[in-house]
Amino acid sequence: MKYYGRLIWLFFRTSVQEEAAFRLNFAINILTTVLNLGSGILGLLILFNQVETVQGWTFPQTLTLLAVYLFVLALRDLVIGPSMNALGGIDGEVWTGRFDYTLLKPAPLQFLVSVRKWRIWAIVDLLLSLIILAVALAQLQQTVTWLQAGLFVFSLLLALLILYAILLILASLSFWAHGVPLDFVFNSFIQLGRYPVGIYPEWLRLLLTWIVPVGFMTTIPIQLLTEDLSPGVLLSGTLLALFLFWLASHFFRASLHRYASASS
Amino acid sequence: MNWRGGLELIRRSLFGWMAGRGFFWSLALGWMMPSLVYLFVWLRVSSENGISIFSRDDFILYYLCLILVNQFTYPVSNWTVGDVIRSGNFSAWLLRPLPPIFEAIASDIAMKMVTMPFALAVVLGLALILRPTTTITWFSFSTFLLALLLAQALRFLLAYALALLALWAARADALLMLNDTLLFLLAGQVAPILLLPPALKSAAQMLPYRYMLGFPLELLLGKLSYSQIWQGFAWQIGWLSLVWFAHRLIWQRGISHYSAVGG
Repeated sequence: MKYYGRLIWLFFRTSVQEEAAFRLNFAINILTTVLNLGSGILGLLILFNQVETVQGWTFPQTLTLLAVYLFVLALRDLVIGPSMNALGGIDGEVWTGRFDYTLLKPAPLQFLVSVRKWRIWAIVDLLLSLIILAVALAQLQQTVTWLQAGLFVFSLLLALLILYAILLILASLSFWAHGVPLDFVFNSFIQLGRYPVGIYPEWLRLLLTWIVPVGFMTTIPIQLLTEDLSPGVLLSGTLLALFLFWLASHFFRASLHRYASASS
Repeated sequence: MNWRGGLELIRRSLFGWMAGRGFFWSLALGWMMPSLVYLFVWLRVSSENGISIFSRDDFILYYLCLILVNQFTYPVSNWTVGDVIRSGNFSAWLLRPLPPIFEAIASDIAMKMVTMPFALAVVLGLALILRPTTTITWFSFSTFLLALLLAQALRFLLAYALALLALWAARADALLMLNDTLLFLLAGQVAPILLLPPALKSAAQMLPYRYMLGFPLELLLGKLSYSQIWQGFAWQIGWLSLVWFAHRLIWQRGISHYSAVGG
């Protein structure tokens, strides 16, 4: 365990050093974050300027949803996203053949490819999303029990596990077919998670709950907080997350056999 | 102007872009996603509350056409030209016996021809599922077409002018991002301009963004009075000429500033 912790700390430090060379990026990243956040909140304000509720969701509730959405995405951008991109992205190691060196490193491979690249600016996104979450929760004016808070955190962990598994599967697919940026496609679908999945038509809702489980990542954590959700949902979410994790790990290992390096 | 060279360039770019179809289609999916999200959001709102000036069919038609208009006017040179300048490959463009704007126009046209069939397929599929019923008059359709062409010219020129700023500043990305955000909020993507709160609405009517996306769609839906139509065209043509002069100015000043990078 200590060994893994030391490795993660090492990767994190290296990423910080790499990033510190480009100071200007700091300003640009802050700007992106602020614009992203501002347009999200303004979009909600424009919508709720016309109506009181959308499918029973009030403004504070939808704001909470936006905060959770941004939080989950910030966690993705912090480490899973950049690491997977370094593996299977457009200029990733599978494409360039630099994966040879990664294979030679004396550490568990799946662990290595999952945590080695950090995008430190995502910490700013993370903090801002937490601030919005606090503001939105304060506006909800609702007492949250310890049990609810615990379930909320638990469901966020599930969301992260699901997201990790899907991104690992997509990155592993680059061993089979290169050139189709499936992570782009997935990222496009994630955008639908900005709003409660209940507002979408039935076919899209099913797609967003089971195939591209955006619903499990954003809508369900909030529902745990604001209303009584049957334990079945949480149980099936747990099973889904564990199944996806198992599937992703096996698929990653199976995909490794396809790797044939690349000549220079 | 060297038109034959320009046409050749367009042909070459088209083949280059065709080769990466899958890639560009997934990009196009990302570009249409905000419109799709807000299509469903507003459909839900209108089925629950009813919004007086926009019916359910209006929302469907508005957002489905928004996907197409956005795809048609999307300026890819926004990002590519800046990259070319920074990498120093811009020198090769300058050596050709035709103005570099042809390179930008060529990839613009190629991108549109490659991504349009995909956007059309998605929109037709959604139209079959949602089945909007509507009537479009010849008048609204012809004003839509005219406004669409002007919108395309305006959006392309603004993107090109902003990208040319890379001739001075190493990174003009910040400005491009701000541009994109305003386009999302004030061009009619998050909501049709007519549904914005009054302050934002009057801001949207004065800024160029409405004339790149929302204005043609409002014409198509026949939501504007005659005086609003003339005012809209006046703003659109005004912005187009302003951006044209700005682009000439940036080009003339910038090109003397350019020093190639690379080895």
